[in-house]
Amino acid sequence: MKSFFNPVWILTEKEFRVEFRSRVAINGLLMFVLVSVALIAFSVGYVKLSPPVFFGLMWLSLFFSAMYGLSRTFVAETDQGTADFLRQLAKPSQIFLAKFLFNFLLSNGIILVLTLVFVFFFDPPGVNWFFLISGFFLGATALASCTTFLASLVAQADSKGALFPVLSFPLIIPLIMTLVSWTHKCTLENPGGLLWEPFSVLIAYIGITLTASLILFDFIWD
Amino acid sequence: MEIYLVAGILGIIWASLFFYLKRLEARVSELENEGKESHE
Amino acid sequence: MKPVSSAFQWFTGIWIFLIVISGMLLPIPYIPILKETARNIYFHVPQSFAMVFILCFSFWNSFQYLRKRDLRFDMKAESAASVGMLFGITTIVTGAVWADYTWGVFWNWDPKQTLFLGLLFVYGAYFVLRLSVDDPQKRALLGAAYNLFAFVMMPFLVFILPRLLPGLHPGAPEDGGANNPVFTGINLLIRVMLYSSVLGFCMLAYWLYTIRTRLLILKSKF
Repeated sequence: MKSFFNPVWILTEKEFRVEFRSRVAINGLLMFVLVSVALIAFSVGYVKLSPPVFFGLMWLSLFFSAMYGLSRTFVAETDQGTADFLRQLAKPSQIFLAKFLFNFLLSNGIILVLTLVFVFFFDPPGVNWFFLISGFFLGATALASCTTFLASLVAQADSKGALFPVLSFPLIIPLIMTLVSWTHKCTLENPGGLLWEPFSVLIAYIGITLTASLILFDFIWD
Repeated sequence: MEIYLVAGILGIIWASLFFYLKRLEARVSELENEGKESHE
Repeated sequence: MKPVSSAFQWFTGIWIFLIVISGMLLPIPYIPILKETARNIYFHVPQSFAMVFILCFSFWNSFQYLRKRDLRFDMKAESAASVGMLFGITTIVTGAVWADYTWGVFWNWDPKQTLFLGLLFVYGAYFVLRLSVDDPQKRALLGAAYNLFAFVMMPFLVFILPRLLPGLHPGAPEDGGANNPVFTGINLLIRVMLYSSVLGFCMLAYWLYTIRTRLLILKSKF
């Protein structure tokens, strides 16, 4: 088991090193998050937002930032032609898991920054913060597990354009609906028992997307 | 009374669609045969 | 691809003709909100069944393509997906007209309606992905992978979430037959008619699928 996961850690570390070496990607992403929140603040900042609107806007800016950040998953391989080296170094499933792990950390980072900026700019509604943040964590995980595989498809297409959002949005519609119902329940008095349903949907979503991606990635990555 | 009219109209629409499909089917078969002959 | 026999075609034609006529003329139980529009159940519901039925062919052929790498399977998968799209669009249109008469507007943002639209977006994305790859083998590979990935997510869109979120369609929670009582007191006649109609539309979908596949195969030769 140790020998299977060793390359995964090494590749994840490599991903971080590549991203932070160029800096432009990370800083661009940070600016994207700030600009999108500022845009919302300029347009609706002067009204007191009701919880559904607050979280709706928050999920919206999260998904757009994530689309921007996660679409870069396999760009380095296709741009610099390093895919063959990766093939030599590790099995497809290891490469996929490393990419997934990186995307998982990235989307959690985006959500962390976004939450802080949102709380700073807007007056947040009273919620159960423990359940809300665990919902964010699950949502970011589900987002990463769904889009990592799609990014590998897009990386191989000839004309990329808006392909990544086009492919991912329909598949994350169920995710958005579940998360919106989750955050809505977090504004209630005692949400613990009510969250069981969206929780099981999210876990099933993560499980199914990860399994399907791991199986299909073997075919794509030849 | 209107329901007979609706049934009639829908029936006619479906019948014309059906015959259009029959013609399409025949045309595709024809093209397939042509392809076979020219191949030989 | 083997064409369907002439007997099959005539049987389908006469069967659906009989469904149309008897669906309109046979007595239907009086249901408060639906009234005579309840007859749409013989057209709206079977079309969505036919869509799922033909998308199973698309799934199966994509799977076969990944195993055997034969482009004919890819053409079958593509044509099945396009026939599925066609039935999806007719389902949406018949549903929207029905919704206008019973729920007041064409589009209610009912979860089932929204998620069904999401399903159409998935297959729209499938065609966009196919257009953005030039090499036929690669196009087939990426298309098949996306098709399989999307198909395993279909349960979320069609079966799981509509039953968890409150909505207007039958089967939604907190409904209790108030919005759409047609399924609560369903009688034998409606049941038999509904299943016969499902059979008819599935046969029609299969017929369209064979024609479309043969056309695609012809196109690839010239």
